[in-house]
Amino acid sequence: MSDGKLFVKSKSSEIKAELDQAYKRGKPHAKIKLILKKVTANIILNNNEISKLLPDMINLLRFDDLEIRRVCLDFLCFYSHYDPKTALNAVPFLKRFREDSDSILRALTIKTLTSIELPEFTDLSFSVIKLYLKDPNVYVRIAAAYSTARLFKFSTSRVINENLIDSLNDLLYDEDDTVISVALSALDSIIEHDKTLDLKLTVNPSHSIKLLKTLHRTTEWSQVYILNSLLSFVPQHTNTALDLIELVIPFLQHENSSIVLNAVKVIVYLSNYVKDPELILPSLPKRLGSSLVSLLSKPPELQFLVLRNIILLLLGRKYLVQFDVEMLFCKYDDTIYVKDTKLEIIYLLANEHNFSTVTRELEEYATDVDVAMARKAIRAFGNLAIKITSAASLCVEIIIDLISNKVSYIVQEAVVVIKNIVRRYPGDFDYAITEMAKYYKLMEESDAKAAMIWMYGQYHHLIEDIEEGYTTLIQSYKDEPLEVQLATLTATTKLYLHYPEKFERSVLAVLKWATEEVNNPDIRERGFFYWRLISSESGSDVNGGFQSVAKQVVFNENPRIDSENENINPAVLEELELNIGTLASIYLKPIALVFRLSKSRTLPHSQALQPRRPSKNSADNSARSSRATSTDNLALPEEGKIYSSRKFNVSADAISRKKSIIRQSSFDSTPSGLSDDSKKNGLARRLSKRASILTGRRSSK
Amino acid sequence: MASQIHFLDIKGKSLLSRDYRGDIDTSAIEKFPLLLLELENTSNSTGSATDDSNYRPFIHHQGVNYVFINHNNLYICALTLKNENIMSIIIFLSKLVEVLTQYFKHLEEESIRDNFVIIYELLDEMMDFGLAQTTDTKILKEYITQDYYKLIRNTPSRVVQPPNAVTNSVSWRKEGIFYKKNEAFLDVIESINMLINANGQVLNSEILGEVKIKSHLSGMPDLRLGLNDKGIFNTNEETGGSTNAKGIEMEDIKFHQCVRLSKFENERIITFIPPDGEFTLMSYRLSSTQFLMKPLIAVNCKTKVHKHSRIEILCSVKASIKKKSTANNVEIVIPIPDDADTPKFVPEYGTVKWIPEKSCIIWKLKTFPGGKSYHMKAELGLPAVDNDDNYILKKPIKVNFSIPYFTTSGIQVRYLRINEPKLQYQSYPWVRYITQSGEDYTIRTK
Repeated sequence: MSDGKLFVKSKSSEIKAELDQAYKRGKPHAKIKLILKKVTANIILNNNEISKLLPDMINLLRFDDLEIRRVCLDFLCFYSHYDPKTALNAVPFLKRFREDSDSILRALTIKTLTSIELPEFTDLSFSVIKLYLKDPNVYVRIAAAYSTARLFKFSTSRVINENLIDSLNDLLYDEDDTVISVALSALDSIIEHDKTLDLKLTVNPSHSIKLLKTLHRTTEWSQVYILNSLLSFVPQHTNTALDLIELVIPFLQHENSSIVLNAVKVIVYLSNYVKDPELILPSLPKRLGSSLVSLLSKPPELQFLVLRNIILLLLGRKYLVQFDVEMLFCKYDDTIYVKDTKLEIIYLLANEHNFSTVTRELEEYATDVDVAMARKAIRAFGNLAIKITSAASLCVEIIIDLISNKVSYIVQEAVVVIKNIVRRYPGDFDYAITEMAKYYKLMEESDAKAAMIWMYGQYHHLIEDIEEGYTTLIQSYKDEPLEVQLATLTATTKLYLHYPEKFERSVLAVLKWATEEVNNPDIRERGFFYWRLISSESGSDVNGGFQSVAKQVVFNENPRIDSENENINPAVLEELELNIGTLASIYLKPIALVFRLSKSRTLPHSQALQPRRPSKNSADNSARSSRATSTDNLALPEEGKIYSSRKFNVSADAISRKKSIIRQSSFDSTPSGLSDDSKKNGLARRLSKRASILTGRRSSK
Repeated sequence: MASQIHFLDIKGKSLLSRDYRGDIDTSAIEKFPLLLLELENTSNSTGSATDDSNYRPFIHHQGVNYVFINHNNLYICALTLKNENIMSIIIFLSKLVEVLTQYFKHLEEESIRDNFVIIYELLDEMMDFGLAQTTDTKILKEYITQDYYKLIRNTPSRVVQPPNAVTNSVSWRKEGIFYKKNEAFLDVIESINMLINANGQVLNSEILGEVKIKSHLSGMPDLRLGLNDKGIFNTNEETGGSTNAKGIEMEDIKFHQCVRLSKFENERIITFIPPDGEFTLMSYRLSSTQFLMKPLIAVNCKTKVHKHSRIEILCSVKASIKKKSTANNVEIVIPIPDDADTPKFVPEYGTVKWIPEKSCIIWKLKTFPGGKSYHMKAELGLPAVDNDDNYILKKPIKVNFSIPYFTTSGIQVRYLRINEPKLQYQSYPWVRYITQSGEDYTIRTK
């Protein structure tokens, strides 16, 4: 018989009547249990009306039956605070239970006592819990340990004053490994409870080694907690750290993924205390890598989690993990968030040696039916070209090949990408500009349009039939978003300076509109600036060269852009590495930002602590050119969309500001005093427009 | 770990929940359906993923984190306030599903209602103060059963001891198991995942292997498994790839908790006391670099689209396995356009079926001896009128198959020694090998 029909809301009066009926029988147990099932159902269904049954439930405690008592005690936990006076009647029962010979009942007693926030119950809890923490029965000790943590939540100071924490500490040396792990996790939750409290877990080396050696005997969850607690152990010598790493390595092979990831975390943590761990343990990177990859055969949620952590490791600990990029190729039915993350990892893994494999794979994605995926693949091409110099020409070739299909969204994405590439390698890919410019008719989205307009202005000498193309591009400039309008202003001026006859009409119209019709201060200011510049008498110099001074001002050299900054604040990385597998590792953001209440973690100092290695990229960057570094901050390529996770911005405000700076600077180095507000609006509008374009496409499908 | 656990129906309405810490307001879960809807909308519209924190399967809303998995039209969701180990939470949730499935066969809305009492009790035992305790069905079944009451009465001391607490050294096996005939069945199952491009070139491939054991053994037997695995007998990475082609180097082995990991690490010996009944002793993964450069079942498929009239498919398939071996139940799933109709098939061997609801045709070959190859011709009509002339089908071809008595990696069980120190009985180990297609044996199409 199923209990399904009992799963309904009932009135307390009905249940009470049924109980009375049941008492009249000789053996009421079975009937009572049936009624109690109804009670449980009502607890689950959040029916607070049944709180009226409290006296009846307390009355039922007199039955010497665990199943009945279990439900009644559970009921007490839920409804005592509705009627504290009546609830007190339960205290004598609980006092009796505490010395019961049944360990399950004892455990239940302490659980109940510590779940009810009433002074009488709390008083009793303290006397009982001290007893139970030393109870001969393991099950009771476990329940007592958790109950201490529960108690700590509402009577913090009393728990400290009555030395319960010390008693918990004693449990760390319990003969039973499960108890140890429970004590550890209880202590952990106590420490995490309050960040103002200065409590710290310290584990000494011999104890931690002993723990690890007996670890395999405990249940899988105990293993999770014990591994976790190793983060509180500070190795004082390289050798201790190495010993521990070797003891933890076997856990990379556990069937429970949570243990595997925790083991990875512990190893990464401990390797901070070893100089060149990958040289001492040459197989380590491969083992870490392959145990992470093997987790990718799990359900998508787990895959996603693992992938995010792989990103984290690749950003900070490239030398500790080793992956075959092929294993991270997207599968057709991967969920979109898995594909996304994989794409990011593929980009991170790309290097001089494997880029041909990577580009071939990306090409596959670029022709994917999924529009979002195809776009991302093209963006990845752009980033790859900028990151790896030797791959650039191949990437450009593929992009040009892809746009020949004239699929609108691909061309538009490609324009943005090509713009960045030609800025990174000035003069190397002129043919790409010539080719790209032919597709001016397909421009609809604002970033693509702005990029195209900028290219028309900057590389006018490479573009055929410039007049027709340009007029088509800017014909609706009055209704465009800010970004396109600004690009239009600059590009029109540039074109006028070069082809005064062809573009005189346009420049007049645009500048007149900018200075007279527009309310936006940025456009107006820039409009006036150009207006005065080209109408000034000193625009042309004495030798009569047309507008040569103005040309000098407008056509200055663009700062070269560099590979996207992969360097994250090391402190943030360090904290995240201590939190592998946690929620923060998904968000890849500083923990304090997402979880205001949690403590910040840093690597504890010891004489064995090794300085953090600078990531390889920063070394490259600084070596490349001094000029590049000075403009590094301004001249990031346009990312912020696909790889925004990589930037650990401190606040949302900063994100948008940074984005707008990037955008602005990547079009032109013209100084601009745009106010932040208008930029944010512009950005928001762009994003929303972007979104609507995508949804529009989807819904039309 | 988790503050609350909820079971919700497909719309996000709460069916059953349990509060472990009382630090999150009970109304938090009521926002879940709304958040779910929002998430769906954002993940559809912003294909360009402007904000990463909006990702599935995690929602962060007003300080509360919703971590959830989906199972049979159910959401199982954990709420937490802190930066918790989300991996543990998800594993716990999936183990929870596993346990409940073992209890009631099917876990769905109906069975949750039918078994609410026991689920409630299970939730209480599996987690305390939001920390996972035990997720082993075999242990849980010992003290949570529908006949819970009887169980107490029958034990002489009236005391039911939670078994894992008593016999801690082997938490997964209780004492006093007895079988008349002592047998152990060993299955070595290898699933092949392969990604092949349209030219028949293997892009990546992996073998996901599993050794499953069904143990019907009495007492507390100590088992020792011998494999011809080089990775086990020889850890040295340097000598791995080049020297001996016979040995197999397993890249990544995962063991059931009963295996003594330290013993394996130091001496490369797999020893364990098995749980009773069926379990997966170990799983391993081998990537393509060592072998599997050629597809096991090679498919070559040419599609010709005659716009507005018909589509022609020419498919040939070859089994590049040993002549002695035979592949069984080979299925080749070829995607076709949604609006194709009136199929005509001419298979050289086997049968072809059209599955319109999945937009594919399936070519089935019951037995497929190694080295042979077969052809199939299919023709489907296309509607005369259509709005979209995009017939580029990017959907890959999928292949399913199984090959008995054969492991791709060449792994073999050398011995399985069973020793029960007290009972000293005779026992019979049985071994079976099978290679099958994994979830992703796919061939990309042009």
